[in-house]
Amino acid sequence: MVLSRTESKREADTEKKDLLTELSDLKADYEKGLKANKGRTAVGLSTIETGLFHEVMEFLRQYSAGELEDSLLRPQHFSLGHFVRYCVDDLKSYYLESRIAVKPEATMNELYEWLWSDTSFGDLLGELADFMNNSDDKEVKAIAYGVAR
Amino acid sequence: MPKLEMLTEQQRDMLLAWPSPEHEDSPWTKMSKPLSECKVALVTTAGLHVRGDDPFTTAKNGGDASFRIIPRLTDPADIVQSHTSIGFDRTSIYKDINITFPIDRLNELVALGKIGSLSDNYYSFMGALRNVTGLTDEYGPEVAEKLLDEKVDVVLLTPT
Repeated sequence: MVLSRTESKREADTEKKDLLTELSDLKADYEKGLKANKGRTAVGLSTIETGLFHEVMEFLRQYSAGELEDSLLRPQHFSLGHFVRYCVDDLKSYYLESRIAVKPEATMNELYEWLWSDTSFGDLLGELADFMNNSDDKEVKAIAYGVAR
Repeated sequence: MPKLEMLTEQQRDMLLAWPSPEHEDSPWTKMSKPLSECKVALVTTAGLHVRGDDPFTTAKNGGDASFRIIPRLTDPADIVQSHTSIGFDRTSIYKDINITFPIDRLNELVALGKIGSLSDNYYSFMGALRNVTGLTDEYGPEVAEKLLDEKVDVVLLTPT
């Protein structure tokens, strides 16, 4: 049973980096995992290349702050709510696959505890879920539940 | 799949009150030949699909009962998961797709002669449906027809 953010969050082990630095610093670990896993990755639902993930992260940050309503990166056949979900799923996969590459023995709970407690992305997902949960759009509100789990 | 005692009281009560389908019979098809002569297909409810295919969606009433075709020769690096449920551990499939979708293992079993052959196509549904009529009345039978057309003898069903 996967622990939600609120169930597994603890005090951070180290000082957190800013979002974009954190994302950049994971690149080598993600590529290490990709190589070890014969190119297999769960990343790809959003259809956005990993090279553009800084833009995706920045969109999620501005969207959750109410500063931006949509993204030019969104394929037209994806609704906004689903696009946000696929971006979140892709970034979760990117983070967790990066972590697995350097901590292959980590249990599921340790991996999620790290995501929710030690990363700025985990904090962003909490803010994003709160923001989406207050939306008048039923689809966005429904998707909010899964964002921080 | 978690045990009931691992769930919250609310989740436990919801599952215990969930109406289970009732069937008048229990179809059982005895194997007519050894597995080493059978054609085997893989059918999953893990919400997998080929990268670039339409993801499974939450927008449909009671859940997305449709299916995706995953050709057997698809590069495993091109298989992704869009299951909408948040209740299962995704880290296992991050580590090894075979945990959910044992494509490499099936190929190995064919090479070892334990399985006769594999179907040209595999099929993927998304589980966690609140309304299963689309599955039982439309998409399930459609996939069954496709499996029969391919002369599949055995189906290996895998969850998330």
